[in-house]
Amino acid sequence: MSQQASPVDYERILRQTVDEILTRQQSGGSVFAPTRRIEEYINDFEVLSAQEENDEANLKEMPGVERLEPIEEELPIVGLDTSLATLGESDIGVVAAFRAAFMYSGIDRPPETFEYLAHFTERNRGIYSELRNVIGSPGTSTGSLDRMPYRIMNLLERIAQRRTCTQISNGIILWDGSLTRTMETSREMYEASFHIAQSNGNSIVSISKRSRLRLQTGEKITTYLDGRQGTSMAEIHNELPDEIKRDLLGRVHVVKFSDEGFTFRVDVVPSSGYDCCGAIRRLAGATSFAHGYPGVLRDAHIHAYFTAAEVTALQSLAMDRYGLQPAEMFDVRTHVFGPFG
Amino acid sequence: MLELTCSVPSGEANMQLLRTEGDFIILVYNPAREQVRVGESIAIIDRRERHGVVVQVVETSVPDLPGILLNIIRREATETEVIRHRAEDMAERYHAVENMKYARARIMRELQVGAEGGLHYERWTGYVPSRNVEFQTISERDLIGALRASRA
Repeated sequence: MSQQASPVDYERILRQTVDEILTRQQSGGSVFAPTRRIEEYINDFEVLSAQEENDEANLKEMPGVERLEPIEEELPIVGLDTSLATLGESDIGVVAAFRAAFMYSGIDRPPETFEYLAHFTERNRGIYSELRNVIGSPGTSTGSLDRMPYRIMNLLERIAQRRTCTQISNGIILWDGSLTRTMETSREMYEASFHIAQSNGNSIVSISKRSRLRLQTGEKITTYLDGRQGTSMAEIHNELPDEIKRDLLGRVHVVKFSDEGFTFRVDVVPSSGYDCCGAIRRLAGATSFAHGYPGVLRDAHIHAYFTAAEVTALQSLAMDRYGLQPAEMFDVRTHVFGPFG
Repeated sequence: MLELTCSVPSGEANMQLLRTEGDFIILVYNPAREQVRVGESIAIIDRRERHGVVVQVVETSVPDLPGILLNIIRREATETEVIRHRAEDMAERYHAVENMKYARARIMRELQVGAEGGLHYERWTGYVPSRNVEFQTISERDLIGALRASRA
């Protein structure tokens, strides 16, 4: 008789396990240099992701466009966004903070955030492997310590995505970015998430604010529908080159969700019983949009965002937690370029 | 020159000197740890120079921290309370930074610290201390006594 594996408790993982792993072997440093001076701090950690680098391509043909007809129904929606704040460097590593924000629509449930602080050093490189094991995808960290926060952020996002798949039933899960496999996010990692989502009757809709996909004319696909009247959508998946398609794990569309809004790249993995267009139409009918971007995802971003005041607080906390003294501020650019630095 | 037998504490100062503006000094402090009242006098002593000023607090307020507007907007725009899963010390630190206060204080007198730690009050010459300072509240009685003596 085969024994059925018990479902993984992603709630407990985010609440407890991740923090336990991230707080291992944090001590040993002596000084701390904050990333920026507080008054110059700009919170924009959107870095060019590996996904987007993989996606640079031109479409083979112009895609057909259809009007987006919303399906109006009560529908549970959960949106997720994650954020990274690189707080500074110690003499032996890098200090960073992470936040994942979950927002809900169509169900009576308050927003939730999960937040972590970590000091990455050569001594605790194993954190990366441990977090990969949490989502059943073994691997080791061989990159530089400076890249460690981004790699950890990527893993945390995957764990948080898994949790979204279990939080609602027969609804839509909204993620930020594209569904493209990369060196760090394997096909298996994504497909395990899709399986959990579909077993709960959920469709995954992943929305990219930026994309490197272009039409043959050189026009970006994210502007393709911008001049059109009304809402519209186009499935472009079949027009993509094969070398791009093999890395795509959802069906790729461009969608203009609202009349005056922007166009977004939308990757879809529908639940059984629905097609991709159905999932997009259900989403269009069930939530509000801000400039064409789903309100649930916008709110998730707002709650994931680290403000400058929060970064200041976390920099101060990091020094106390890890026993670090403030280092003299030194910016080589200022010394070399003076006021033009 | 007058001498008062006030000792200057050598412990870790929590209050910070943010900047000077003419004969005003702006102090930043955490109201959870320190109380500053309008009207009270504070000795600000430069640790290295053993030289300082006495200031009288004329205003207390909340500083316009970078990003604080976003914190407030985010909180006000959210219809239901956010459930935050985070370490207790993280929550406390956010609270401390967001609730920092500043005090605007006018320079009243200049100070020299004597060999035994006594404070010698002098007319202000325009001197301002560095940010490496320690603070001590001066009682009204001591200050008035020093000012009276300086007129004698």
